[in-house]
Amino acid sequence: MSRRLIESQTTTLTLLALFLLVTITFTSAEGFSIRTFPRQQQRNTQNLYLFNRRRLQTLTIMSPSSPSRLDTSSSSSNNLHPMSVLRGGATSAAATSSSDLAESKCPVSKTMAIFGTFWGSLGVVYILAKAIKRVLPIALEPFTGSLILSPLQWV
Amino acid sequence: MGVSTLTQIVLDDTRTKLREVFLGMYILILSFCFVVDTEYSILPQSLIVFRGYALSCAFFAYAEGYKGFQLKFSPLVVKRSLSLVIGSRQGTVLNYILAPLYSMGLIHATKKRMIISWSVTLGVAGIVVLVKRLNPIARCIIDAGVVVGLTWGSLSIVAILIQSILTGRPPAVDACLPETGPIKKD
Repeated sequence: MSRRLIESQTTTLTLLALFLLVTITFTSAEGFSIRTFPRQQQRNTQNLYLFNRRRLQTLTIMSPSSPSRLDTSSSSSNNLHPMSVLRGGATSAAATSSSDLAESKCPVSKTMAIFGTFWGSLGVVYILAKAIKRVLPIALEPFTGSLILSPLQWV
Repeated sequence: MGVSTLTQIVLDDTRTKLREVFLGMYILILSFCFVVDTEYSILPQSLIVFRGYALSCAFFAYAEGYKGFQLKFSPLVVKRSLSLVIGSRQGTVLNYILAPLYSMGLIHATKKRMIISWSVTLGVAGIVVLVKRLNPIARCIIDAGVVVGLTWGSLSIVAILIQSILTGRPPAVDACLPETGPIKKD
């Protein structure tokens, strides 16, 4: 009995260690492989600013109702804000919206995303299943006949 | 007729069908209990208690399984587990290792979500302690309902996950991810 227990514990620990190793390796590899381009982002922002400025200069002579009027309050400039750049080059807006669920082109990212999805969802199911397993024998006691009480106790 | 109107009609129709299914299930359970009680005498004691057993199952199936899990918790779990992507803010090693806890909203969530999740978890733990102190009959009645509710919940998580994978669309609920920090608006 104890040997079995030790064996199962060893297996669990080995699996956990393996999982940890794989996760750390993949995360590190991903961190090194993804280009964040902080300077490029800043340059893009500067370029956009200059571009907007030039357009504004030209647009001042245009009528206000012109459809090509530049919308300076658009979120496009916000998306390029350096403060909003997250790990892996994702923007904050992307991280909180449904677009963060978009598939990545990197196979490792894809694999880890699928793994995370299944581990996250089915892990919860496993926790619930454990609870069901623990509670089920008690719930089935009236059917199994181990809980035979007097009518007075039932009432 | 707009898309939202159509969606509303479909939703109403689904709700009506679900209500019918639930009512049918309830009648089926009660009938089953009645047959079992009268024919086979599995429970030789009071019919009222046995009906309490059935009512508990029906109540937990609706309140816990359908309203709690299927409509609220399961979509959240699936949505959060789908948001676990390396390169995103939430794709950290810790979140990967503790993915079930992350999916349940116990870690890396908005303050409100974390308060709700931890309160529910601790509340359930407290109820479990209280239920353990009840007499065996009441305990088995409540536990039967809990089993039904949890089974419903587990199946709904699996179903929503499969649906999301097949359709390629995550559930339309808020993932309750924390804010990423101040973003300056020009």
